[in-house]
Amino acid sequence: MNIDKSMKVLVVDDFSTMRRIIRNLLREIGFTNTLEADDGSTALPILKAGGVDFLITDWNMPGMPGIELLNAVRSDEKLKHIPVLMVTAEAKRDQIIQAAQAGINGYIVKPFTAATLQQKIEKIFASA
Amino acid sequence: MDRDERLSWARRLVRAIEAGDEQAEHEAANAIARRQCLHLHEQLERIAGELRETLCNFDAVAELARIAHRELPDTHVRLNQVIALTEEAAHSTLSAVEASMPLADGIAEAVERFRAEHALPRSARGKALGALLDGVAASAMELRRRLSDVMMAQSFQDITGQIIRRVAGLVADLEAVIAKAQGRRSASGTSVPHRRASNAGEGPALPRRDADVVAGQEDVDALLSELGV
Repeated sequence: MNIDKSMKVLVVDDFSTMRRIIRNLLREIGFTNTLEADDGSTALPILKAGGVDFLITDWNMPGMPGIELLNAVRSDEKLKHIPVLMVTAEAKRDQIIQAAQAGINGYIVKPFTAATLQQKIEKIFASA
Repeated sequence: MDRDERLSWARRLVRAIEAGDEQAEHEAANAIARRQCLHLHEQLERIAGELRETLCNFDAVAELARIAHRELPDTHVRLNQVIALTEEAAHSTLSAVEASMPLADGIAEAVERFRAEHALPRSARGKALGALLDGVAASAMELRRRLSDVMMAQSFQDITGQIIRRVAGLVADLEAVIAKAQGRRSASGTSVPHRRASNAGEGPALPRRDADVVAGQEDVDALLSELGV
């Protein structure tokens, strides 16, 4: 798998423990250039500042939820190309359909394994 | 006492008065009065019952108001305390894991380096040392895997935190509704129950309770593949 491991990854989750776990997992896979934000409204300015190549976001966050962040990214000319992976406890079929229609690139339900994260990232960048 | 009986007593009363029979008059008047008394008694019993029930409700409402005012704001704080404490504990565990992983990696690397730099003699001692080094390397790898499991297990804090946060929201709503019903401001400052945005998400699903929920990652993958993602 030929993924550019130097890409900048933004991890968005309202729980600091989950952000830390995801960043650790990313480091194990080889991604060391990571940033974090605690909800959509703090993530958007970071995205708009430029340089983010990959977005991993939770859904259920106080403030701006992940699905709205996804919508914002997809409706922004400069950001809409960024692959988005949703990592969330939201498990309703309707929500997964909603995320798919909004243009999600991958969807992981919590609790998840390190292998699942790696697999989904590889799938996203294999088809990119 | 039915209508005929009442009429019969009334006629006896009239006859007794006309005849000037005081004893018969008294007897007839008493019979009619007793009936009135019985009726009044029934009514009194009913009113007493209603009063009892109202007073009970009054007690329940007063108790509910007390809980809403005194206990619910504390409950909200306590639930947030649980989130903070589990978060702190999970971070401590993650710190220990992050510090331990390089140690496990270091052991495995040291063994590998030693084997690359030193050819082991074919003697019994050499074989024993080789077996020891292989064992150490395998244990270091296993330790690394287990540490990774410990790290992933800390994700419980996110899942339980989301559930607790939802319950804390419910407690705040309840307090606000009761405060509103009593015409006062809620102690925790919530004015009216806040409405969650439709896109805000639901949090972790309830096993065997929520309909239309995926069973796991395989289900998600199948659904996404149907949708062309």
